[in-house]
Amino acid sequence: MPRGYPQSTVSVQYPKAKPKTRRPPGSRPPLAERLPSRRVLVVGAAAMAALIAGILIGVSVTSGSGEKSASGGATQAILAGIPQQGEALGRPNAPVTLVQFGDHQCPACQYFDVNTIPVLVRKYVRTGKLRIVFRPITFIGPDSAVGVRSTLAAGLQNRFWNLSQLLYANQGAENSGWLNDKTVRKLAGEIPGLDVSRFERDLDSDRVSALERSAAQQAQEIGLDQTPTFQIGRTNGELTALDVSSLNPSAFEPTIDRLLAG
Amino acid sequence: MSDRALRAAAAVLAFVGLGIASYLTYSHYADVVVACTTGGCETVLRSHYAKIGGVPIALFGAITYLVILCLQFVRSELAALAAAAISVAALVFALYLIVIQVAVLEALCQWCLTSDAILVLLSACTVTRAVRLLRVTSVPSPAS
Repeated sequence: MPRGYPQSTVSVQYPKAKPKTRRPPGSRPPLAERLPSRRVLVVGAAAMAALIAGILIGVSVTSGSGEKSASGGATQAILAGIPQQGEALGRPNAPVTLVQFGDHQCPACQYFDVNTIPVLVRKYVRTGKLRIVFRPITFIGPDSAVGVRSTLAAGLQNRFWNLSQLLYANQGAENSGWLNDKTVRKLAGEIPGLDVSRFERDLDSDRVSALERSAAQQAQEIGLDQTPTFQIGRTNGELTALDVSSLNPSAFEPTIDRLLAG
Repeated sequence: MSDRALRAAAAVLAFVGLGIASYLTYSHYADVVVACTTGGCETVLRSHYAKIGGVPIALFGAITYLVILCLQFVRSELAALAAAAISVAALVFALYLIVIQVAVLEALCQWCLTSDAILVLLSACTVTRAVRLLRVTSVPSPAS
């Protein structure tokens, strides 16, 4: 019997080779083999989606509240090319007239003038369908009279709305002193085409005083008890009180459309 | 629905969305009033919320739709996943804008709502595709 190694009773097991999935030659390995794991990918994609949406919403909320204090350019661009006659904005023969009694210290008036006036101007005034007449009144406090007289003085040069919109864009807290001669003169200087020296002379003129009294008298006649207060009607026809549920454009558009249709 | 059909549907939806967003972007810069049957388009589109940093959201929307459209032509699982993530992000932002329209502006813009509906369908397509691709490409457990 040939000598040799004793027959082992222990069988050695070698590790099995990892089964390979067959792929056609030239094809790429599946995503899960190339990247860490499916879970990481899904979490990463969800995080990216949440991050993008979060940033967009955050920036939108921030810029939405920040633009209210925008000055100059934007407010003036809204009025560019639209005729003004004193306190009236729009074509004199526009079929519908909206009258706004407002105070330049009044926050609700500011909301209306900053948010809704641009929409009404684009949709109705610029297209010759509506004219908007502003009756400035002293309602909040004595400083409001500075707003009244200055806008009426600018109106003598057909720049009433330019100054009015600038005042709203730069509005401060009620009766805090922000509405003063210095502010008014500074803002007047930003209005293209306004003769500032004439404007300053007009501030104390009898003509502006007469316009101021006229607006106050009209406010008294309608029993004004809040600002802004609105009247609307066919141009050169009878104006009626316009009670609005909000100061958004949607509260005004149906009435304007109805008057235009009629 | 096959992967090919999902990609085609996503591409068509993104293309339509791109058309709407482009129209709104054009109307903003050309200063024209958009066609509107809901009556609130101007209110919504001229509000502070329609812009981010002075740039109209419609322009961001157009770019988003364009990117999603292009991703449909890239044959990669990562592209499918990116398209899903972008469309879901856009959908979340669109939902926020719907809340703004209803609760803050009290006005509805038909173009925005149409775009929102497209985003819902687009997200469904892109997410379904991404989920399917990830399932298919996951490694099967070795047979014992």
